[in-house]
Amino acid sequence: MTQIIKLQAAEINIDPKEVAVYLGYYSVKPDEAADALMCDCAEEFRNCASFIACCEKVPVKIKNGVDLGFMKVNSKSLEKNLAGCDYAYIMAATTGIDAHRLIERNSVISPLKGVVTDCVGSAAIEAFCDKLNSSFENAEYLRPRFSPGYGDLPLECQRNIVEFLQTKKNIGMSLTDSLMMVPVKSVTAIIGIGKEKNKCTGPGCMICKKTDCPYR
Amino acid sequence: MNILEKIKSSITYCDGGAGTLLQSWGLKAGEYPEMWNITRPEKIVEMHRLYLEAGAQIITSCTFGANRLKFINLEEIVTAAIKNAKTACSGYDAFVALDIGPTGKMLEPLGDLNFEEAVSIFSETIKIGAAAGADLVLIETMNDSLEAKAAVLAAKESCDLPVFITCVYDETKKLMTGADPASMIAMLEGLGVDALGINCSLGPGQMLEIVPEFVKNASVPVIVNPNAGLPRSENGKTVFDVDAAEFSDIMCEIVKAGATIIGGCCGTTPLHIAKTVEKTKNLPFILPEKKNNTVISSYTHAVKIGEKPVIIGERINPTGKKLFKEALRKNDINYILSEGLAQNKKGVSVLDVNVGLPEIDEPEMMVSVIKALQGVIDLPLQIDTVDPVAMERAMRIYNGKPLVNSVSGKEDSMKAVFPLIKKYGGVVIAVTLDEGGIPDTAEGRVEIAKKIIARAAEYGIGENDIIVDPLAMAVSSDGNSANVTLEAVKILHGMGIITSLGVSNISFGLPSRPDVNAVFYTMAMQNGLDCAIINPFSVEMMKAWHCFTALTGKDENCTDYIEFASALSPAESASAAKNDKSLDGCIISGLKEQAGMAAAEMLKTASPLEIIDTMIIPALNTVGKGFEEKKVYLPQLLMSAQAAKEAFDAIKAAIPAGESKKGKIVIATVKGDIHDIGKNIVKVLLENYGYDVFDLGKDVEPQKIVDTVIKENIRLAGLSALMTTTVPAMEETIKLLRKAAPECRVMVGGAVMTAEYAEMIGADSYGTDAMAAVRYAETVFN
Repeated sequence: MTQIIKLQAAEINIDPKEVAVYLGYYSVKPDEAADALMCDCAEEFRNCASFIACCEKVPVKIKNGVDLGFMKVNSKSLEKNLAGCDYAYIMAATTGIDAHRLIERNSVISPLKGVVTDCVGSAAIEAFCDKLNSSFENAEYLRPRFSPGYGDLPLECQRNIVEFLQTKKNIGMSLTDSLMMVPVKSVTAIIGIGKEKNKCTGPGCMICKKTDCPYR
Repeated sequence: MNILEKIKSSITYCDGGAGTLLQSWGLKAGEYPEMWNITRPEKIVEMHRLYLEAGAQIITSCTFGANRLKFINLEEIVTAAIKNAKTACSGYDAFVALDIGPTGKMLEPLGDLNFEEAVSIFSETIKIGAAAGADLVLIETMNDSLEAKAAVLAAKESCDLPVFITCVYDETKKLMTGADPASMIAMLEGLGVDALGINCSLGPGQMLEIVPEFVKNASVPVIVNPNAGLPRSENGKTVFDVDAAEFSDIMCEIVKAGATIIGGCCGTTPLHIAKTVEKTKNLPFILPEKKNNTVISSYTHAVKIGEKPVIIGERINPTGKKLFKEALRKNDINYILSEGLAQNKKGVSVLDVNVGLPEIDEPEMMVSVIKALQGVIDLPLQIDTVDPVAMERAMRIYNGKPLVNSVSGKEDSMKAVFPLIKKYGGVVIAVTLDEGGIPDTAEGRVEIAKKIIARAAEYGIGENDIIVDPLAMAVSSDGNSANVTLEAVKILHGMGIITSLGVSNISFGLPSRPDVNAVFYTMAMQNGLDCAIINPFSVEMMKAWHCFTALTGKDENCTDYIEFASALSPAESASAAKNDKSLDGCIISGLKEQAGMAAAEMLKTASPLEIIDTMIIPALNTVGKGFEEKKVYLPQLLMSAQAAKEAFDAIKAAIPAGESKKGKIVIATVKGDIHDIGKNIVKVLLENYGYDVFDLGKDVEPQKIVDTVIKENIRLAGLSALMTTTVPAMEETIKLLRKAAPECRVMVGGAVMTAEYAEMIGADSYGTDAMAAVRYAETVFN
């Protein structure tokens, strides 16, 4: 059964450091003006966002690919991530359509405000997913979130996930023909439920071949 | 008795949930219930029968997800579904509703589903259902107002069946995309639905709290189909927490609150319906009263006209505005949006949208501007055009119930406009002129108003959907003109007719126009004027409005007035602050206001070109170089860019005419890609460096880019793509450009791009960031 989970904005901590990294400050502290703008945009984002997610537990079978019941997919990297798991959570989370509109609106007001709000949104959806995952049953057994597009897991899997979780109906999230998510700050992911605590050795986004990625 | 007679004579019962029942009979997770219409029709008939036995009088066909996006054999499925429902209903006094659910896709501008495509998807299903013999169309579980509109329009255009619609509201009493019940009711009743209401997501208890909002605003019967509370998993099975006894108890309260068409949604069973029928069938039947309010709406809220004077912002209009005309010619939608956002900030309640310019395709532009405005601003819009084609296209895609400007007493005008108002729903401004011109007496104008209202009634348009504009004419050419207009407002107000004026005409030809306008506006409001098209940037006008609303008790505790007045006080305004930084220093430090002031100051002693060459460009280069060397970060780069833009704006007026820009560049985010933050950054930097940028926006058809390149004779195109899935569109655009305009260079960028990728798809240059785009432009144009 698909579960719908809503969190209050107050429960989501949008880490300014995280926002700064998205803006390109990898190891440097932003100056005062940039910092103030980040805080303003974060406040505005928090006021607009509605943090809503849905998820469902599915059985995992790994044999000639990964079988999640609602979809079968050939992906070596997902196989590695889910190795040893009998079950996984399939999840989709979003920060809502008002937050999407805020980013659009702020980009019209100024590209600077637009890009800062966009980065705030990225930090917010990540924080939301982390918070969600830690609230799942047996959270300490969970593997790192694995999303379509990671490693060799095709982006096209998004369609199956969105259809399976009925995301448009349940959380107001849908896909465009080119597989972009609307609202923009949304995530779909597969999270393996391991049998041993804290053995989160399977790769998450670290499996990506882009080794120069600043977010690593 | 047909269904419309039925719902007006007694409580009408819908059926309940299908999913739970079908799953207990073996429907697997991920399996489409619609398929059972063909593979297990006996089970579908049995399900309908159980609900009929329970007392349901409207049986919904098992076609919730039946659309061409999901099923190839759509006709077979829908025809079988209606047949199954009809088979079940034989022998019962019941009606078959063709069930229409959402497409699962998001409409433009937020998503990529085109409005007309959505209408066409719904139409296809509805035509099949109507041909198969459905008694009504039930559109349900809509959580996006625009999609709801597309579905209703499709139903209205594809069949003559009654149309019922229920949408999904959450605990905040709003749709997922933001609409409240009042705005939905305004739009849906405007479109001519026969009953409307709420279903899914909430249990009966939560719905009970929303029902009064419906009863207060609706004139048609209200439908309430709740879930059986919230779902939870029990031993691997989904169970809902509100049983039939509790459900039916609350349904009694819902009927007492004014709902007259009731049933259930997810988790409800034949038992829920049976108990509900049993307990509610003898309750009093009360239909909502006809409201006769003048209401317009946006995708979030409704605006009721006739209480507090409503301000319609006039600034989205090219008349007399050089920059606006330029923006229209260049298709610079962002400029138009920023005009809208600025007015929104000033506190207007409605935005007038006029994009009429002889050399542009007005219907096309009107649609683009309205779509874009709907993406970022939640105010209701006034569609302002004399072109009936532009008017219709705008009304179709408008996400709410629009205000339309205008119809006149001329027969041709009424014949063109009234059918649109009737079909799409809207409130129309009626100007008091006809074939005989504008009467010079108040009585003459009132007569025309009466004529227009009477003709509208013949089309089935109520007086409440007409706002009369008795026309303000220049007092400088006729000393009595203000008196006549004011008198007409007074008479119309006395007759209970809503009025509007384009105020600023009154002062035409006079000095100090804002003062004249503001006093006239105050006088008109005192005579009962309900709305006015004004310039919200005029302090005099806003003062008049705030003072008037405070003085007439329409601003509780004078809260708005106090806020307005305190923002006006000149205290520590930036303009008074001393600026001791040089222009280049301001740009490097990203100080926007100071940069503007410093540039204006320099203009006293230096030419604009000197300022650009010795200050602005070197400062930008310093920052740009710092960015390239990773010593300056993106926010700082953009702050400097904004400061430079402010400086340019300050000296722009002094740049001699004919002083051409460095070169023309077209930029766009490619087809299928709906993200343009990166592209916007590139735009601001290129403009800083003096390039004439044609920004085509996002999700841009390859051909549109090619056409612009050819029409404007452009030598450089910048394309952006975020995901691997949209790179093919980029490649296609490049191919087309190579063929049609081989001399045009192409630079590409975006999250997924790499130098190799760029080369593979045939681009001339790949830019890792916005500065790289500037550097490449320099090599192309120097």
